Amino acid sequence: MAGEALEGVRVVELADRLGEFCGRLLAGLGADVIKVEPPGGAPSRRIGPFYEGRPGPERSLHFWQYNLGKRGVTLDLGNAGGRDLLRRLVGSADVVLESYPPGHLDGLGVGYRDIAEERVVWLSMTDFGQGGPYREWQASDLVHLALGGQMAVCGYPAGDDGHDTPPIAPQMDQAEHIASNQACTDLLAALFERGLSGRGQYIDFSVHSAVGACSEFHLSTYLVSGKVASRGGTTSLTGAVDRDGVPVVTQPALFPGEWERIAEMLAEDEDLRYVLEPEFADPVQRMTAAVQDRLQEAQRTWVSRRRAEEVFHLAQRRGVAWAPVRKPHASLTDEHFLMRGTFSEVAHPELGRSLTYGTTPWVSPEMPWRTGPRAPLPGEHNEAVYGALGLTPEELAELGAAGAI
Amino acid sequence: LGVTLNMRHPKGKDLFRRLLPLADVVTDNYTATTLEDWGFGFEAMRAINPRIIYVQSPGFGKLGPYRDYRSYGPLAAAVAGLTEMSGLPDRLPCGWGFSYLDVVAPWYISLAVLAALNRRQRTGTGVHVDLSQVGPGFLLSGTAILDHAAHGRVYQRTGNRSPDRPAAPHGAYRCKGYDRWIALACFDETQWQALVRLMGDPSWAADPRFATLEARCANQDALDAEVEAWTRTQERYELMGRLQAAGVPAGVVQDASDRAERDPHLRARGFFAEVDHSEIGRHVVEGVPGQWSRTQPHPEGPIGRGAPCYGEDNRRVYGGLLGLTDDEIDALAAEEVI
Repeated sequence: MAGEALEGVRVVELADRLGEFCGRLLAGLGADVIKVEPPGGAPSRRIGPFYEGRPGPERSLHFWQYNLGKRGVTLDLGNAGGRDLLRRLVGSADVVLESYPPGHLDGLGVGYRDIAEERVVWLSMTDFGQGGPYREWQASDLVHLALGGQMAVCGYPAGDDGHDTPPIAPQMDQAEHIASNQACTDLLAALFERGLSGRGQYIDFSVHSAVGACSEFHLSTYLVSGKVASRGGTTSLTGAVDRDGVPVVTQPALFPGEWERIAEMLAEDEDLRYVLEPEFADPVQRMTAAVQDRLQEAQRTWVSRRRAEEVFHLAQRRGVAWAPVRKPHASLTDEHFLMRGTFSEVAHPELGRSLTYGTTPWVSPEMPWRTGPRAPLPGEHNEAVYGALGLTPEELAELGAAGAI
Repeated sequence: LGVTLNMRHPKGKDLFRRLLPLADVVTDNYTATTLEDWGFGFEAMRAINPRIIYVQSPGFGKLGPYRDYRSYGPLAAAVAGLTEMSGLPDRLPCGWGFSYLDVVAPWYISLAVLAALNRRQRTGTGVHVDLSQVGPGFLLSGTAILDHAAHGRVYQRTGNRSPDRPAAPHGAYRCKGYDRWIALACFDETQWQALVRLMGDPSWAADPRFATLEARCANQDALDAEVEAWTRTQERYELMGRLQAAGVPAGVVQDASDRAERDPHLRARGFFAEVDHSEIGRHVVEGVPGQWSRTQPHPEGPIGRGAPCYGEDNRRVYGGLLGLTDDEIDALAAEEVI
């Protein structure tokens, strides 16, 4: 039996750039996500890039990317009529996802304790959580990746005189991705638990903590052994570039059998047959600096004679885990990802065209991923959503005249 | 819980067959067809347990021509475009200093499992999910794919700068000490003026090149040099406190020891949790990012322990759950079934 995971689940989202990606994931899983914006539109509509380079609330690619699949209503939280509407809307909700500063909604009388019924799962996502010494601090994607430990290990290795380049923050809102991925998991877990207990709950979610929990083994290694990793030490990016300058990831052999496959591949080039010597085959000797230098030289030479995409398939067909460093869009035409439905064309009727989004992390005909429609226009679904709550067109007109929506 | 099981042995298959009716979920990250080759593809498992949820996560996924391609975290990030997006514009990408997709892909496994459990609560049926390590990466490249679709633009990295949400200064700046850094960002005039006051109203800050956000963005190399000349005289944590008190977004570039020893906020939030390990004893691990009002999750899970040792729970599972006697379990161990 086919069916979206969250069919029939309603999410009311009062989130900005911090939590919008979480709402988008819930929409992808089939929830009816209603994004609540202030009249005039959410602040994230002012984040670029913009369609054809011209800013405007209906032109933000950032907003489109993170609000795919949602419906949109407007209401003014500074207006009593607006707050009353929010109360009614939350009354119809299973989940509330909000990212206002700590205590903001409570101060307006529309916080969790004020308006949520017991069955509601409510997640407040803030930079540092609702309590703790940094509660009032300001953050951004960059600041989170600094505090969270990502930057400390991302960058270029030190030279003889130390580091001449700064720690690097990987780009494109990764802190928000990291937080939203975990928040979405939390919401799904709380919804499942509600299915057993019949009760919702409140989750005070801190982006700082979420990002702090995303450094693979770096923190746990320190906690157990006291060791701290240096930055720029990635063993898979060793400077190998193809004949056009495209970098290639040359994953080192980690498991039995992998080295032999790498060596046979490199030895296809007569002048690189020295990698078949015994000092390379011995896994301990292979890790010594002298042998590593010669090995990496061989890998760089082998890669530099070919094209990165050719290296990808030559290596992988031999069972060697190497791959090109692709541009983000480069897989759009790749037959593998097309067959898996990784990308989707989403119609933008206002533009008279459709645009391609990365939409679908898994293949499951029985539990498909929803891939549209395009992000809502400001207040696009006011009539449909508020009408379904029982408001008449006259009442809506009055609320509009009063500036409540 | 952790058990050992030889899935190539007929008696191993039999044990697995007996475990399946007790299970809600099967997950694996073997190659795409391993479980199937052992006789436990989704349909076979579903025949034994109609409510079973099976989430598999081979490197590139099961469907498609790259089914047998291999992946590690750094490789998945490279294919998805995330490696390209990290680094200075005039150098090769530096990528991620850890396996980002080794962390992210398991989140999507959890997401798929929980999504399927919610779905099963409604429909009563299980599902098969063909996930991959690479696939979730395409959701994490921000607007790069959309920008290419809309404008044909090819993504260009800009180091630590913020091209889509204009800010300057915006980057990591050297502080007092060896390889000590602070990240700071000024998105608006208020934040910039607060920074200027903290720096002691230096004369260079009045330069027309830095008069507006637009001008500061256009002259970031010069701006960064001036800001760093100041930050390098400052102690990083003390500076972070002063910047935050003045309303400037700032954070020390913390390494693992900093997060464990010098982040009072993580500690106050109960971020660090203790778990028991049967050999190394009680030790500290990363906790969970949320504080829940009713059912607070804990890394120890319902069994109240950290990671299992090899085969640690063989008796508990094969004896307690399947009802095998100690003698039967010993015999299976002697036959190398478990």
